[in-house]
Amino acid sequence: MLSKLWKKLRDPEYRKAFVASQINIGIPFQIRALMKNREPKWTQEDLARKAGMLQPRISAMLRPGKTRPNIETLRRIAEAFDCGLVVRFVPFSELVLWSEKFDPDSFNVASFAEDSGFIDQGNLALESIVPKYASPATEQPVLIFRSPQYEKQIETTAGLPRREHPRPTMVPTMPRIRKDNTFVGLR
Amino acid sequence: MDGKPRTTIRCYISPAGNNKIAEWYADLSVQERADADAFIATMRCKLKWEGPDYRIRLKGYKGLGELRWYSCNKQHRLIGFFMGGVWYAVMGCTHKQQIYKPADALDTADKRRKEVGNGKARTEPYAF
Repeated sequence: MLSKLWKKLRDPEYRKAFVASQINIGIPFQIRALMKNREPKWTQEDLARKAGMLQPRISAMLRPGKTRPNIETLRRIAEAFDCGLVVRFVPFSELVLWSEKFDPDSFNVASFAEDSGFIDQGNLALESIVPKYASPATEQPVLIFRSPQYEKQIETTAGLPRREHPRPTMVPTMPRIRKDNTFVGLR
Repeated sequence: MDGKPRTTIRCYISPAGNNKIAEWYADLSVQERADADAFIATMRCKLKWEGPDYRIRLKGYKGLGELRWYSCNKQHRLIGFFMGGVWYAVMGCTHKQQIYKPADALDTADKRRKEVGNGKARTEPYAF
């Protein structure tokens, strides 16, 4: 099937149509898979409420080819699922591979709270470290990844009372941000 | 998708030797073809065909089902049936306000289903 697709993609008109079809046909399958994999399973009303849209619009969006979702709509859907949204230009080979690998039965995207990339490396820090090193009155911690050096320093401070904690010398993932969201710098 | 079985689709061949599904596909616009490709490729990956993408028990036509998608503001239908784990596509058409185009799409599909079922019509793999 892949060789057939490559042959079709030699036609510029088909290439244009292929990009549109990956959005118009592919997105409804993705959204439905995300709804199905949420606990408990989301209804159209659930998604409509969380995305600030009307249920009939969600219903239409779930039908392959029925609507042509724009980026703002997709952003709101991503916000509802509490997940990210990637919009970027790619070579056709990459788009074809994505479409070939896409499996509507297993497709799922974790919400921020269930994102294993953060559970493994971040949540612990948010709960136990941030109060020690960030002043809640003036700064909001934004945690992305912690360096191995930082992990080591945290381990060594684990048993000490809060006041005795030495301030880590390298905390690349603890930006200082004021309440008005002004970025001050890295701690 | 690696390693996961895909649903096998075969196309109805008329007694005159014409692949009726290939003819339907050839009559689609480029965008309609791309949408059909994307939709059918995704459906082939799905283990269970169900609504809203697939409708079974078409009224008055027991055994037939239809794949349903939109393209270029039209509702497209590919009518067929499951037999022995294989889905046989027998008729491609469009649908608007409860009316199929061509109007006799379901009757034709049912006739073709019977022909395939009793071995009077050949089929070929869906490969476009």
